[in-house]
Amino acid sequence: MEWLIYLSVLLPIFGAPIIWFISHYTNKWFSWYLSLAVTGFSALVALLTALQVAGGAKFEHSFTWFNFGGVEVPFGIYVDGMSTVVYAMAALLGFLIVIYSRGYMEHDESPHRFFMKVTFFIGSMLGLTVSDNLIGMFIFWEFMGLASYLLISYWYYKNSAADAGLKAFLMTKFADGFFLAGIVLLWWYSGSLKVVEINHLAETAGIPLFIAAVSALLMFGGAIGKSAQFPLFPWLLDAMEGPTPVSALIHAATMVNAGVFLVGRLFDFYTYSGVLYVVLAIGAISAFIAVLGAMVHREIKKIIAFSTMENLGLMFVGLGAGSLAAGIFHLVSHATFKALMFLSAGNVIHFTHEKDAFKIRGLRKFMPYTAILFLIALLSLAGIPPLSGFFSKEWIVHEAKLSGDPIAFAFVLTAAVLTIYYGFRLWFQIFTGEPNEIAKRAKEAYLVMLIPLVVLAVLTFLVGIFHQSIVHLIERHAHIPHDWGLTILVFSLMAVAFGLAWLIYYKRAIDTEELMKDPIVSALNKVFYNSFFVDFLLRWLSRNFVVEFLALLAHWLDRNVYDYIVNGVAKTALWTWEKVKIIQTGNLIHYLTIFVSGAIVLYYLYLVIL
Amino acid sequence: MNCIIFSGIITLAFGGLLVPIVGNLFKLSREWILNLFLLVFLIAGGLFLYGFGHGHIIYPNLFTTDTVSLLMTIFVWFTGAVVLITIFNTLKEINNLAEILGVYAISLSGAILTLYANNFVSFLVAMELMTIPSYYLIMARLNTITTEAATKYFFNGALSTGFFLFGILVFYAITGDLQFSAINKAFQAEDSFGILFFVFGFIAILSAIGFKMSFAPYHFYAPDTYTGAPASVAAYLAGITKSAVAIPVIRLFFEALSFQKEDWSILLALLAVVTMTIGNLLALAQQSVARILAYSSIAHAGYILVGFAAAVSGLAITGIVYQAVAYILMKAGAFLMVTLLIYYYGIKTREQLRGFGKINPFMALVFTILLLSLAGVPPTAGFIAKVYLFQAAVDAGMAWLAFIGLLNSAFAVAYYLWIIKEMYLEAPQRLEKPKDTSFLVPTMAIGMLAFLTIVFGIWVTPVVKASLAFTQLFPF
Repeated sequence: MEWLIYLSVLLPIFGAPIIWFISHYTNKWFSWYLSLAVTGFSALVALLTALQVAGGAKFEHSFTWFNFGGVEVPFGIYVDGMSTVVYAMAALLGFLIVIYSRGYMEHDESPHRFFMKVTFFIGSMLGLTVSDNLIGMFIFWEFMGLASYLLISYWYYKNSAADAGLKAFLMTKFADGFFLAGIVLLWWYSGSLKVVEINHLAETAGIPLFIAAVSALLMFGGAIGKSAQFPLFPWLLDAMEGPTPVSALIHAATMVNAGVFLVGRLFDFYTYSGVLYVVLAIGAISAFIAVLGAMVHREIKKIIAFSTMENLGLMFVGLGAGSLAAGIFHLVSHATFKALMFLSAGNVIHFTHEKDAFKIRGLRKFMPYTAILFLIALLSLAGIPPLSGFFSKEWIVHEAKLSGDPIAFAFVLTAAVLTIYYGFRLWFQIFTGEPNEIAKRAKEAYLVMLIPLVVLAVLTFLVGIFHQSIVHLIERHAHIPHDWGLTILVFSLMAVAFGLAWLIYYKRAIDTEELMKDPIVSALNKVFYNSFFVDFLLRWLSRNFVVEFLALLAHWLDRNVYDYIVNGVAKTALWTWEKVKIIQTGNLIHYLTIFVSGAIVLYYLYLVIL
Repeated sequence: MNCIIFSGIITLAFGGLLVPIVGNLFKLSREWILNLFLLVFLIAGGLFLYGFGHGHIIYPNLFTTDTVSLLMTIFVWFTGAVVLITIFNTLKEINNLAEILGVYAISLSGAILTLYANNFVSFLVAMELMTIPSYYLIMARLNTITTEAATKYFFNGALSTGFFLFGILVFYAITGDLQFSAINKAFQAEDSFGILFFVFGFIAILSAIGFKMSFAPYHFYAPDTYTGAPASVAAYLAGITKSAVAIPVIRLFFEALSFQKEDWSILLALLAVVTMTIGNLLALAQQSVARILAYSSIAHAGYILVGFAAAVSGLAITGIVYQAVAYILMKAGAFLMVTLLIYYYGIKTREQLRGFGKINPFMALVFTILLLSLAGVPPTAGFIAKVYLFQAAVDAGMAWLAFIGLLNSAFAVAYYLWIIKEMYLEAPQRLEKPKDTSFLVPTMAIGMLAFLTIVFGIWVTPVVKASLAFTQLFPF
C-alpha cells in the first residue's frame, strides 16, 4: 500500500511534463484524458487509503534521502487519520476539477499546458499531505508555489494576469522565507525533521520552550502567506485572474489549505509552544476583514475569494482555540462546498462572459441546474443543516466562545452570521428578478461541467451526514459539541441578515444607491472594499522601502562593489593568461622541463612541510 | 578480483582485437562494425552487472573488488558506450574505423581494470593498458595538429611512467612489498627509514599521478592534447581516464601512505589551490569551447585534490568518489557535445555559439544541463560532489581550503554561464542546417548522460552508500 501512496504523488508530478510532451505531438486535448487517468488513479489510491485508515490502519515508510557527516535528511510518508482526510479530499476534488475543466477550457488554445500544470499542482498537494518530514513538506510547498504562479498567470499575455501571478509568487515566497527559517531553527535545536518526532518531543518537553515558540511563529508566518491570512492576503484576491477551475483548485483542493494543514500536522508542537493564541488572533482578524470585504464587492469571483479567506480564518480560529478536529473538519467541509461554489460560478461566467455580479439578472430561467447547485453550496457556506457547513461552523463559533477572548468571539460571530448576507446578496442578484440581456444569451452548462458539480453537491450532504465518523478519523476522541443557546443566537442573527439581503436584493425595497449617498456609509463601504487598506499599505511599504531603499542600495552595491570585483577577476584572468602564455609555449621540451623541475620543487616543498 | 568482472574486461579487450580482424576478413560495412562493437559492449555490460552478486575472487594480491570499483565500472562502461557511438558518428571520413574502435575498446578495458588495482604492478599495467592505445586514438585523423597532440601526450606519458617506476622502486626498497595494504603494514612496522629517500619516491609517484589527473605543475600538456585530439577522444581522455585513475589513487593514498596523512595532505592542499585557480582563471580567458573545457578539467582536478587534502575527514572518500562519478558523466558529456557541435555545425568558439538555442534546441538543452552540472548548480551531481568535497575540507580543519574552493567555483560559474548566455540570450547570426540528421542518436545518448547528472543530483543514496562502505576499508 505504501508504494501505491508514493506512486499517487510521483505519478502526477513526473507525469505532468510527459502529459505535455505526448499531447504536444499528438492531439492537444489528449492531455485531458491523460490528466484524468493520472489524477483518477491518485484519487482512487487516496480513497482506498482513507478507507483503510478508517479501519484502523496507519501507513508509515521512511528512508534516508542523503546524509553527510552526522546530518541525516529523511524522506518518507506518514499517513494518519488527520492527513488521510486532507489527502483523500485533495485527490478527489482535484480529479473532479480536471473533469470540469474540459468544459470550461473548451476555447483554449493550449489545453495541454493547462493540464500539465494542474496535474503537477495536484501531485504537489498530495505530496505535502503525506510527507512525514518538514523538508519534504517544504519541497512540495514550494512546488505548489511554483504551480500556482504558473496557473494564476496562465493567460500570461494579459498584463493583469501576469501581475497577479507575480504578486502571488512574491507574497508567498516572502512568507516561505519565514517557514524555512522556522524549519532550520527547529532542526538545529531538536535534531529532528520528522513530524511525529517533533510532536513527540513537544509532548515530553524535549525542545526549549523559547525556541519552540520562535520556530512555531516563523512557520506560522509561512502558513499566513500560503493560506492568505492578515496581512498577506491581497494575492488571493488578485489570483482571480486565473481560469476559474484554477481558482477552485487553489481555494478548495490545494494551495490555501496547506497553511492550515501545516499547523494541524504539527498541532502538538503548536500546543506546547504556546503560540496558539496568535493563530487564533490572526484567524479572527482575517475572518472579520474578509466578511466585510465580501459584503461590498461586486465581482462574483472576488466575493467568493473573500469568503475563502474568511473560512480559512475560521479554520485557524478552530485550531487556535485548541481543537485540531474543529479546524481540520472545517477544512474538509469548506473544501467541498467551496469547490462546488467556484465551479458553479465558473458556469455562470463561462456562459454569460460576465464577471460582474451586478450586471447579470434573472439567470435562474436560463441556467436552472446551476442555480440550484449554487444554492446548495451557498446554504452549506451559510451553515444551514443538514449540510456540512452547519456542523463545522457552529463548532468553530463554539470553540471561539470557549477560548474566552471576547473580541475574537465577536469577530468570529460577525463573520459567521454575515456569511448568509453576502451569499444571498450574490445569489439573489444573479439568479432572481427580470432577466436582462446578458442573462438571455446564456444557456445551461454542458453535462461534463454539471456532473462534477452534482458529485460535489452530494459530497456536501455526505460530509454533513457522516460528520461524526470524519471527526473521529481526524481526532479519535473528539466530538462535535452542541450548544443550543449559541445555535439559537446564531440562527436568529442569521435570520436578520437573511431578511436584510432579501429586502435589498430580492424585493429591492431598500435602494443601495440612496444609502451610498450617506457619507458615513460610503466611507465604510470604501474601507471595507479595500480591506482596511492593507493592500495599499503593503504596496506603499514595498514601493518606499523595498524599491526606493533596498533596491537602490543593491543597485549601488552591484554597480560599484560587485562589478568592480567581477571586472577585477576578469582582468586578473586576462593578465594571468598574458603571463602564463609565456610558459604555455606549446613547446614540448619546455613542458618536460617544467615537469621535472616541478617535481624537484615539490620535493623540497615536502621536506619543508616535514 | 571478481572473476566474472574480469571476464567482462577480457571480453572488451578481445572484442577490440577480434572485431577489426573479422571486419577486414568479411569486408563488413561501417554499420555492421558498430553493431558488432555494441554487441561486445552489451556482453561485457551484462557480465559486469551479473558480477555484482556472483563470482569468486581471483588474483587477490593484484586486484580487489569493492563497492566503489563495481559502481564506477558501470559508469565507465556506460559512458564508454556513449563515446563509442559518438566516435562512430563523427569520425566518418577515416578508413580504418574498425581499428580505431578496436583500440578504443582495448583502452577502455584498461580503464576498467585500473579501478580494481590495489598493487603497484597491477596499477602500472592497467594504467599502461589504458594509456598506450590512447596515443593512437589521438591520431585517429592523421594531420599535423593531432600528431603534435599525440606527441606531447606520448612524451609526457613516457616521462610519467618512468617516474612511476622509479617511485615503485623506492617503495619496494623500503618496504619489500608492492601490495598497498602490505606496504602500509611495513611502513607502520618500520621504525626508521631514510625519510629523504621516501620523499623521493613519493614525489616521483605524485608526478606520475599528476600527469594522469592533470594537476599543476604537470598539467601543461592537457589543453594542447585535449584540443588537438578529436573532441570525442578528448572526451574519453579527459572524462573517463582521469576519473578511473582516481579510484586506485584513493587506495594508494588512504591505505599505503596513510601513515603520512598529516604531511602529504598539506602538500596536496597547496597543489589543489594552485590547480583550481590556474584552471579557472585560464578557462575564463579562452574563446574556444574545447579549450574552456580543457582548462575546466584542470580546475576539476583541483577540486578532486581538495578531497585528497582533506584525508583526515571521514567524508573525504565520499567526496572524491562522488566527484569521480559526476565528472565522468558531465565532462565526457560536455566534450562529446563539443564533438557534435564541431562536426555538424562547425562551431568552435563561444561567439559562433550565438543563438544556438534557437538553431537546435535539443542539443542546446543537453549542453546546458551538462555545463550547469560542471558549474555545480543544484540539482545536479556536480553540486552534490562539491558539497561533499568542501564539507570534508571543513571537517578536516581546512576551512580556508573550502573557502578558496568556493571562490573558485564562483569564478567558474562565469565561463559556463557565458556559454549558456551566448546560446540562449543572443540572436543567431545565421541559421544553419546541420550536415545531416544523424545527430539525433548521439545527442540522445549524450542526453542520457545529462539526465543521469540530474538523477544523481537528487538520488544520492547509491553513490554515498557505496562510498561509505568503501571508506570502512581504510584505516582512519
